[in-house]
Amino acid sequence: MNRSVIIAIVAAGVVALAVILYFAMRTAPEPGPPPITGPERAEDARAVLDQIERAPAPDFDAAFSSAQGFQRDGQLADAQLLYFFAARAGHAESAFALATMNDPLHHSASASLLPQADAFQAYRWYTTAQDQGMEAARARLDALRAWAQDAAQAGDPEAERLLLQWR
Amino acid sequence: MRPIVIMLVSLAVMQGLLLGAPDGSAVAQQARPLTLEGKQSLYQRVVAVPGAAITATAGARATQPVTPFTVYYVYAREEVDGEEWLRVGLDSRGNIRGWLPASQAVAWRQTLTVGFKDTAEQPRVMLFEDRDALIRLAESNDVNAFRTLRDRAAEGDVTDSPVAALQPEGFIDIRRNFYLVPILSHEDVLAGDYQARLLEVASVPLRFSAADDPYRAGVVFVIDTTVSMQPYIERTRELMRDVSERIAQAGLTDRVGYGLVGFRDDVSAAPGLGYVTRVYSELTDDARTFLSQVSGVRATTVSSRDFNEDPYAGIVEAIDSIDWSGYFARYVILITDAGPRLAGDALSSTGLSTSQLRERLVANGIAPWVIHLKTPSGARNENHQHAEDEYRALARIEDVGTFYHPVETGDVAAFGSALGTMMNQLTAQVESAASGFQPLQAGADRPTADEGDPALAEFQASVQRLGYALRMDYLRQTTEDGRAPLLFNAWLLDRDLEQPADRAIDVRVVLTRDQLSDMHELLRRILDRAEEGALAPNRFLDELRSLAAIVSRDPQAAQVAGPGTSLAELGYMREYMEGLPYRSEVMNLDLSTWQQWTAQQQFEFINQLDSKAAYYRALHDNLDLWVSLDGGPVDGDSLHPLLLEALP
Repeated sequence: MNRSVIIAIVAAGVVALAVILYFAMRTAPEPGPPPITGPERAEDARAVLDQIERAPAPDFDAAFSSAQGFQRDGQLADAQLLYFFAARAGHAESAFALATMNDPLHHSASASLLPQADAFQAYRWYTTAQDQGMEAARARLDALRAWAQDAAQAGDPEAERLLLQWR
Repeated sequence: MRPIVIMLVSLAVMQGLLLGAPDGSAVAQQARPLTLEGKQSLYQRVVAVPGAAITATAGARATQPVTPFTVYYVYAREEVDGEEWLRVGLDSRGNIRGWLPASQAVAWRQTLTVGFKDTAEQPRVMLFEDRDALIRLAESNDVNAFRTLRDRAAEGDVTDSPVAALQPEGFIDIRRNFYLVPILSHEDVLAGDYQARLLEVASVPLRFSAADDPYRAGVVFVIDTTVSMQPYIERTRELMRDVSERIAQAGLTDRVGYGLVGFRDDVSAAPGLGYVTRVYSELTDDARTFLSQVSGVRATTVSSRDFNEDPYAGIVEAIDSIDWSGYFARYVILITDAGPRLAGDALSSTGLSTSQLRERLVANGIAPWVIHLKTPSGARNENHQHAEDEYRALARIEDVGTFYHPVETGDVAAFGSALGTMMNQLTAQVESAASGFQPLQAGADRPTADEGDPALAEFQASVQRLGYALRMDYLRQTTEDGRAPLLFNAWLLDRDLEQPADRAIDVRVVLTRDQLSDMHELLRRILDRAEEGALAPNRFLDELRSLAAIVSRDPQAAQVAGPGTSLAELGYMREYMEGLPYRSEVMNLDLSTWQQWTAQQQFEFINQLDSKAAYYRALHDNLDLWVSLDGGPVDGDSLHPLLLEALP
């Protein structure tokens, strides 16, 4: 083997080593935190949603039943997502359930995804349920209005804003 | 004698300015206001200072005074002989009013204003004329010094004090009774352990209230003392006892005077009547004297010739015999159940027609109010229509309102309630003038009549307009050189050193209805995308990008947007939000953050957007909550002071 070949091999080795060292030593770019998966992102509900959306016509009753099951099992993010999906499409029972989860008069930490009640969400979804002809929603709305009046009287600005919805 | 008549004329001019025809050229009709530097949709706006006046052409002599604190859009800027002039209009649709020297207007860039809280729950806010003194106080957290300054200011003592003005007592809900304390700039300071905002505002100083010649109101009752009036006389007396107590409690005893003139009818036709007119009490600020002098007022039991009486004789007596000097605001309150004898009636002792009497009142700067008791007896005698026609004409003040209030069936309780409401409003006006602080457009003298009595509410609205004009005229006349007190800049803290945990005032952004409508529209679109994004997270970023491309004022930004781009950077509402002393959680949302959020966080975000969007919609549709500065119906240029925290 002649000398120039040896030099070329050594040089190539050095370059290869430098390249290896460079890639080994350089600071890796900050990878973004991986997207959250699992119960916090309601992955189970999303799997149900995938199935429902693949069907020729979405079965909102099925979404509602699944949501009830998740709620019973304490999978509250999954329950919320499915109720929300169906309520948004006008499914009265889902809207009523979602409203109840947010209603300051019915909120319970063990049955609601959000730690605090949200009176406006309760208003919105009871109204959806009422618009679909659900009588129970009408009574809940009346009670909610009375609650908002008391809260506004006591100086709650959110309640005061909510009352504008009834004008 | 003070020329209140000039004030009324000047108010008429002001109203004419607000309501009359714009300068009207076709170009003006189509013009758009100038935009703020670097903005595409935000217009330049200015606030007129007290004493500002408008001209038809730039550089000409000003002829038309404008209501202080009127908010104008700027349509053009021009320099004449080294002075800058602004072409201004009341709306953004080319409704141009004329030219205003730039020195008589304050740029109001961010349209922020102060909303005062109820002084029953929060100490009164001090306005400092010395910014550095306020900063030193805040930083040293010297609660005692702060309290002492406030106590002194409340007593009107501002000698060697950095305090220039004090928040008025009580509570005015700015959302329903719009007033303006424009915020010109803001900075962050520390107040003890709390982060506070130091706000520079435009204000009228307390010192003007300390004039040697204070604002005083004189009220002379001209009361019908003929048959059947006794219950009303007694009710008036009771009421005046209460009113004088309240005035004494408010420390305003020397600011309000009362007098009383009784009238009946021609005694030659019915000698038993005793008198045509009698001054029971001269104008006096001594309530005890007044009450004792009027204790002898009795209704006669003798009937007069016919149903008409001679109230004009009573009013003329009040004009001529009462010493009105020293009373800046002057009111004659006529209380009667009968129509007036007019010129041509042989039994009229004055021979004056209604218009002639009105001229005499105007010449003496006296505002006439009439409370007409529409008793069944008057109805039987078909007297009401005649009386109402004449009294309405008498009590009309050009471009201010008609100060005529009918009491149906002559109900004594309704009479007492109406008179009480009016007296309280007058007291509030005197109090407001005494406080020397003018959050303009509304005040403690706002109408308080309930919705069931629109006539009284209308009457009160007129009283409010009249009182406002009187107070501004008073301010103009009490300055040293006779000019209006110029607006001066004052500083205040949004936290009180005595109660630092709560915000002492609200900062509000004054939005037009069109702006709110735009914000609502954008928020709804973002909300729709966010809801889709909660259900299908992978599509959210693309959805937002496509939306940004449609609505963004900066399409370039939308194209290069990545996961780290915030909604504000995508262009959403950037123009509204830039530079505000408010950090928007929604607008500063970073898209990669959204992708990292749990379902709970995403729904909390969605709910917040949802309730704000619904609130904007309700606010937009609730016309009671909007004010049109041009006095017209609510439209896209009408204003609402939105709480800063209610922004997206």
